[in-house]
Amino acid sequence: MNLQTKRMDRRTLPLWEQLQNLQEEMDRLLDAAFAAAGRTSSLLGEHVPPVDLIEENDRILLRVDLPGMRREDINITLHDGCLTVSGEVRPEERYAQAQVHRAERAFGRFQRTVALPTPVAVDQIAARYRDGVLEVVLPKPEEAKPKQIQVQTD
Amino acid sequence: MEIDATVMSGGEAMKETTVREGRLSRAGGRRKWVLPAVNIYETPTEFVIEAEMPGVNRDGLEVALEGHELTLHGRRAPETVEGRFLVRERDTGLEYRRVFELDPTLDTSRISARMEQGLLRLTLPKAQAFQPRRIPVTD
Repeated sequence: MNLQTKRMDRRTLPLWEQLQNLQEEMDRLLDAAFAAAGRTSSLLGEHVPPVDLIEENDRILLRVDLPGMRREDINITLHDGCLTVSGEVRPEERYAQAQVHRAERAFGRFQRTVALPTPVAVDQIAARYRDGVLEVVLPKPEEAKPKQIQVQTD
Repeated sequence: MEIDATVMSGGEAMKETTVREGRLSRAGGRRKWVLPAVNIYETPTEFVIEAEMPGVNRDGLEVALEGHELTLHGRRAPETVEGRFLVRERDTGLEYRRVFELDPTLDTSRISARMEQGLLRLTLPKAQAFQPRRIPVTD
């Protein structure tokens, strides 16, 4: 990481501005450090895309951030009440020959599995990939939907 | 033609400074800014910057060039959820932002940008004078 310390500028600025600059610089470095830590890929050589699993009344939603993939490189499987999203993030062809200056993106195979909280209507599952976000919609079958029970009075 | 000092100082120095991270100003206050993950690589004829901004579409994206300062800015809309989260790892409703200082040897008039599935790919051609050339040898 390049940290440009502009000493000449700093000397001429009022103290509070210097402090503000320092704070901005610290924030930037911390952001970068946390961003790197969040991408475990760089440490473990594996890629863990973040997921959200949401339960609504009549369906379950799985969303996965998968920027820059091809649709055909994403696999979704359902087995024993567990939903698995896997795939491979590949670099552009010219990347292999290029001189790399910064490599923060994670490439390679990944797999995420979540346990579904209820049964789902297997034949109605739909998946959509848009703006680098995969969304899998899993409708609940009638028997798994919450029901309101009317209280009868005589 | 003017040749910039960083280029004159030789191979290594040029490689390090050609696309340099710029300062991110926080003057905007309390907005949530996130640095997108980037790859920067160089071929004989161009530089490529790739930035991951999942959830950002073309309307939410802004690529600005001011002099040699290139700013990437992507707005990711918050997602409304009617249910409850069983797993929550994703971050939405935020702004991606990152600033780069471009080397003067890049031809800023020919920068092209492509946004595909939350991945921004910028191609920055090197100026003709800095591209490799084969020089014919005559007797």
